[in-house]
Amino acid sequence: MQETLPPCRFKTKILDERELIALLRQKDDNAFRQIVTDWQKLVYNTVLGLLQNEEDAEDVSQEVFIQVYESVQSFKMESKLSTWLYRIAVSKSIDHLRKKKTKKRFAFLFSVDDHQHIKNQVPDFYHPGVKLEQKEDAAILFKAISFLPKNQKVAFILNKMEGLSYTEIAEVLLISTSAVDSLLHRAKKNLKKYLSHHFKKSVALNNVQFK
Amino acid sequence: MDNDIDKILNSLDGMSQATPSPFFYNKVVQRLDRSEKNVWERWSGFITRPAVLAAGFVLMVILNLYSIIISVKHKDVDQQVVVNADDYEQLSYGTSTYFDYENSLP
Repeated sequence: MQETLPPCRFKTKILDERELIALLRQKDDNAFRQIVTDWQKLVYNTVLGLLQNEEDAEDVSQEVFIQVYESVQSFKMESKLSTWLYRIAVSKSIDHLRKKKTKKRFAFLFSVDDHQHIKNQVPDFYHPGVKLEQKEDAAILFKAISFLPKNQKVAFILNKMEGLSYTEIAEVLLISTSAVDSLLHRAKKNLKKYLSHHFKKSVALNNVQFK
Repeated sequence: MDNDIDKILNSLDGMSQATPSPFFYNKVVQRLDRSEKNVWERWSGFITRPAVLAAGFVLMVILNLYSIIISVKHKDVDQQVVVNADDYEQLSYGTSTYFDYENSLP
């Protein structure tokens, strides 16, 4: 992980994950507050990377913590709390993307515009954490990421943005490390393909403008 | 072009984490309270899902068909019973039984 996560503080006492989960199972408000405070950035950044929309990311991140509160009884503590949180964040984000895609698919019924135009419309996303001089490049990369297949997108975001190792990604996605390796390899290949197409298109556009 | 592609692929290097809006925890708690109070709304939301509605409709059609088939079968059986009763009546006119008090002579 890029950032070392803070230990869980709780009424001036440092609690480990197990104690915190045990308290949350008893519906302890302070334990829930501690979990939200300590892990909100991790959840929000994962969701933001996948959804590429700040409002949606905030909304889905809240849903993630609601799910944590409601389903903590079923958490068997076989994996780390962060792995469980990543898993919920990923599945909620994918659900959200699926719903959005379905909405877009039916949007042409209510639109007077060309539906193909709506389907292919992906707004530019400027991540607030990217350095100013890299914002334009990152926006192109985010657009390319949005066209990746679901699993490749998740693996790439977890690796590139969250800094997770192959083993950690494998734990989150419940797949083998070699499968993660293959997903990331294919993701990079697809991104390169998209970007070379993007450059060829912009060069052709410039040539047309000069003529 | 390869350099440009690599530059774009590495554009996320050194990025810092984004921060959710202030009062994130309070917003979560508010939503949690709302979702706990609205159990009925969730239930009605589940019931009004298109898949659930369609399944309910199909189940209703099947039950109706089943009850129609059953009632048609019962009708047949009832008619059969009526026919048998008539036969019995016709048979019993010419026969003297132990309970045939009016026609007590042999």
